[in-house]
Order: sequence, then C-alpha cells, then structure tokens
Amino acid sequence: MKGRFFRFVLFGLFALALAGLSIAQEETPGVTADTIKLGSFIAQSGPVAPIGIPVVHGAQTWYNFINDQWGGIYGRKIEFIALDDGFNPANTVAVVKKLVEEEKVFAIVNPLGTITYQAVFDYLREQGVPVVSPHGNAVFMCQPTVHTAFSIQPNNIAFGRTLAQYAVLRLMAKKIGIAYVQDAFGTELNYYVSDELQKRGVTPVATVSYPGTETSFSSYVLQLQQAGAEAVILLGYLADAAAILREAETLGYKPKWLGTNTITPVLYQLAGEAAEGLIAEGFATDPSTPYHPEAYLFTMLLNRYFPGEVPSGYSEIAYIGAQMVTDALVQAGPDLTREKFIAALETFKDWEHGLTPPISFSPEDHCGIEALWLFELRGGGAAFLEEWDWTQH
Amino acid sequence: MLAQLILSGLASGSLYAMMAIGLILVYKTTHILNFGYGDMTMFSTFIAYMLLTWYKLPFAVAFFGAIACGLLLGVIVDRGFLKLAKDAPVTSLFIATLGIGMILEAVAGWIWGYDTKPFPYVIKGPPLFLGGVVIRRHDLLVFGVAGAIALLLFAMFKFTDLGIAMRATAQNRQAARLMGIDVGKIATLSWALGVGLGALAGVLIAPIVFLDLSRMILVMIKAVAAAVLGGFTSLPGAIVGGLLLGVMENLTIYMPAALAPLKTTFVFLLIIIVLAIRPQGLLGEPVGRRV
Repeated sequence: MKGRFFRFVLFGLFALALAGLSIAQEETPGVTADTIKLGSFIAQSGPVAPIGIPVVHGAQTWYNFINDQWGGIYGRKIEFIALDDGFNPANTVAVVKKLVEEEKVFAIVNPLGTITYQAVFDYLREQGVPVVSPHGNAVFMCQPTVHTAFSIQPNNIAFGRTLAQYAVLRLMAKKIGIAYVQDAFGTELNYYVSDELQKRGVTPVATVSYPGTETSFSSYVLQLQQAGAEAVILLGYLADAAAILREAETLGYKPKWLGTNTITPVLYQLAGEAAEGLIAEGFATDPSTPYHPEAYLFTMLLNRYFPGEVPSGYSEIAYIGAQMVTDALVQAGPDLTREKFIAALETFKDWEHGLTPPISFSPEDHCGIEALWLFELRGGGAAFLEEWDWTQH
Repeated sequence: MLAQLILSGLASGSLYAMMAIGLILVYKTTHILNFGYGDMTMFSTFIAYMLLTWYKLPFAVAFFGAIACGLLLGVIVDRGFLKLAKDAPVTSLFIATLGIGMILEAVAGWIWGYDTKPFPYVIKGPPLFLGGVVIRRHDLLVFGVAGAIALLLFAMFKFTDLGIAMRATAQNRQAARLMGIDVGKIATLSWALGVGLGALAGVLIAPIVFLDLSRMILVMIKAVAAAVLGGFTSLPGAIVGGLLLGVMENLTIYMPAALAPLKTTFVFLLIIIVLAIRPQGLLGEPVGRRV
C-alpha cells in the first residue's frame, strides 16, 4: 500500500516535471525539438539592396553550413527568416512585429541599418527579444547597455576617438581640420572626434560641415586650406570624400587625410591618385587576403551556397555575426532559453574566428570591437598599418 | 581666398546654369516644369557611361550616344506619355514628369546598380593658374559650353521662324494653331531639345559630381533655383542665375560656423529676397497675367 502510494507520488512528480519542462519549452519562443527560428530585418529591395542582399547571403551561408555539417545545434536546425523592410523604418516596425508576434522568433540577428533598428529598439527591449550583431555604427546600439542587445561592429565612439588619437599621437599633427556631413552619422562622429581632440588639448583649426545633398565642395576645402590644417579628418561618405580630395588636388592642397570605415580602396575609382596616402579604419579582414584560412573558408562557403557572389565586407560581417550567434547557441546548452543565450554571450572573452579583432562582452558591456585596424591607401589597394585600441591610449 | 572662392563658385555655378537651360527650354514652350529632368539627365549620362566602360567606345561616341538618348527620351516623354494626358491640367503633367523620372530611376538602378561611379573629364591636364587662383580646364569648358548654348538658343528664339513658332506656342496655343503652327510638333521638338540638352549637361557635370541615381537630382534642385533667380523664361538669365548662385553658395562660408547647417537655406532666402524685389527674376520677362 505504502509502495503503491510512493509510486503514485513519484509518478505525479514525474508528470509535473514533464509538464513543467514542456511549459519551459513553450516559453522559449522560436525553439522546438528540431528548429531554432531566428529573424531579421534586412533591406533586399530599393537603394540599400546592394548592401542588404550580401548581408542576407553572408549570414545564411554560415547558418546553412552549421545545418549541413552538424545537423544544426543539438539537433535543432537553424531557420533564418530575413524579411525585407526596404530600409523604411515604418516597414521595419511591421516586419519586426510579424517576426516577434506571429513567427515567434527566438532572437533578431544580423539586422541592417541604424534608422531601421532605432524604430524597433524599444519594442524589442520591452519584448525581451535578444538582438545580436546589428549592422550599423550608432552608439545607441550598445550604449547604454541593454540586457538583450549585443553588437559586433565598432560604434562611432570607437571610430571617432581612434581617428582623433591617431592624428595627435601617431601623426603628431598639431593643426587638425574636420569635415563632417550634416546627418546623424557625421554629427555623432564629429562629437567624439572633437571631444577626444579637446581631451588631448588640441583645438581643431577648422571644422566644416556640409549637407548630405552637397555637390560643390570648393569652399569647404578652401576653408581647411586657409586654416592651414596639416591633417584633415573626413567624417562622411565615400563620394563626399572623393569630391573633397579631388577639389584639394586641384587647389594644390595636400594635408594628411584620415577617414572612417566608409572609405575603402574603391575611393581610387572616384578620386584617382588623390586617394593615395589616406588613412582609413577597418575592423574585418579583407575576404580576398591570400594565405588566410578563415578568409578562404568564408569565400569557399559563400561560393558553395551562393555561387557567383563576390565576397564583400557586407557579407563577411554578417557571416561573422552568424558565427557569434551559433557559438552562443552552442554554449547556451541543449535546454535553450533566451536567458541562457544572453548569459552565454556575456561570458565571451576575446572571441574571434580569425576575421576580426577580439571581442569581449560582460553583463555591463555589450559593445563589440573596440580595437580598430588602420590602413593606408597605397598603390590602388590598402596597406595594413597597425591595430589601435582607443581604450588603451 | 576671396578670389578663389568666387572663381570656384563660378565653376559650380556654370554646372547649375548648364543644367537649367534644358529645364527652361521645355518650360518656355510647354509651361510644364519637368520634375523628371534630373532623372532623364541621369539616365542619358548612364548611357554614355555604359558606352565608355562596358563597350569601351571612344568618348565622342559616348558623348553623342548620351545626346541621342536624351533627344529620344524627350520624344518618348512627349509622344508616349504627355500626349495621352493632353487634356489634363498642367499641374497634373508636372506629376506625370515626376512619375516618368521615378520609372527611369528604378530602371537605371536595375541596369547600372546603386553605387557611385566615376566619369572621365572631357579635357584632362593640370589645372590652370590665373594670377593667384586655380581653375580646372574642365570648368572652363563647362562655362564656355553653357554660355554658347544659352546665346545660341537665345538667338534662335529671337530670330528664327522655329524660335518664333515656339514662342507663339508658349504664349497662346490656340492662336498659334490658328496661325498654322503645328503646336504638337513644336512641343515634341522642345521636349527633345530640352532633354537632349540635359544629356549634354549630364556628360559635363558627371566628371565633377560623379554619377549615381540621385546626384543629378541634387544638381537639378540648384538648377531650378538658378532658373528662378535668373527669371524662369530667360536663357541668359539661367546663366546669370547659375553663376550668381554658385558664388553666393561659396561666400556663405563667411557665415558664423554655428550657422553652417543653415547654409543652403540662406541661399534660398536670398533668392526669395531677390524675387520680392524683382518678381520676374533678374532677366525674366515682366510677369503678365494671362487672361
């Protein structure tokens, strides 16, 4: 009788435990016995599509590889749903609600854009949806720290302070000029460049700002030249930089030019020889680097899943973001919850797969790359100068 | 510094003037403000780009290819689109031209992509020094071409039968038709010429501002301002307006740095002041009310 009672109690407890387990399972959105659903908002139509499509392909490449090579993570295949918001924040709100409330995704990963992310940032935080590796430089993405949000890309604090430090400490420039574009990107960068210069006791000899619609740059260049700036920090986009460099070339003005990660060797196509010697920032290995096993693996896998796609910085950083997501999923263990996933990310110390500088997170710090790679444009390409961690100077 | 600012301002101003001429030509004869002008210019310039870089054809071929494309586009816009809506009010036709522009933009993005592309100078060589100031050879060319075209068209309107027919059509369509002028043909011709001149402008502007889907629209906005400043119906006015706008823009650097973000607005404010004093613009015909 006693034994039967105990068996009954045991059975009851077991049933309760099972029920509890299934409740716990149901409580983790996007996770079933055989899938993990990940969502994203990435423009795949309109003017930003040339960036968005490589981002989708880069991330998808790594998720496909994990699914094909190991059957997913702990038997769960990764389903990556990247919805097209056309880079319109109003659409972003709609597609993210669909992802969170209808698709019930586990996390938002590799999303594209600053204004688009800003539109859903509070909503995602309130819903407790983890966000990993947004593609954008804005400071709000990781500062102040939000429990659920993690970045890989360096932000404008890192980009801005690094340029200012490099100009003062390495180039020993005394007279520094700044040219920035009047938008959220340019003004945020200018704030951190100017602040860092001020900390080092340097007042810019000239700060010029131009509207994003500008087509005539002579007056800005003349102002910089007149002020005698020997180093000029460019905080704008590739075509602006090209126009400024060409104008300076015409006027015979040759300062040392510095620029952010918007500047790549593509500048040579627009500015020609005037691009030579410009120092720019970067944070990921050029996918075409020879004798680099990780760059080779990326290129090979991208070609396997998207034949004919030319590897780019956009597909590469998305691929790296996907690697971080799957590493955190593995570390979170088979009984996956959002909290375990977040806890796993917060233990990352000097994380990298050979394509970026090391990344560390903690419960207080969810910002990714701090140390940047500095390049100089030389002979039509980019020559590596050094790694610069602004937090160490 | 001041001399250089003025000269550089004249250089960018001649781009605005160049761009404004085609806009005014169409407006003068049809009273339609071609909102799709920037996109039409962009499309024709991309044709030149394609002939140059994809097919490696000589510059002259690309140059005339762009102009041919512009002329053809003008004919298509008039005969293919606007004729269909000939009874619509003129303001609706403005929007029709905007729509055509958007179609062209989408097609151009599809064919040539969205990134900014380089475009070669027509004449290369080191810049020229005039006293203490510097100017690109290309700027002199743009300046010369814009001036020559404005004068040629001015003469055409004034002295040739075609020009007189164009002016008559602009003034009173009904009366012109009764006088035996084929107003339909005149409109098509104006569109072809206007968009063709846009193509010519595009080939001269692209080396300076580069080529992508939106850059020509940015120049067009300045061109509209230049045209308004000069008097919307006057071709020499477009030149004067363009040059003045270019110089005024450059001189805004003397504004306090804190006001720098208002630079563009300041230029438009100046235009409003000019219009308040001279409603017809600097060289425009006096504003008459049509009954």
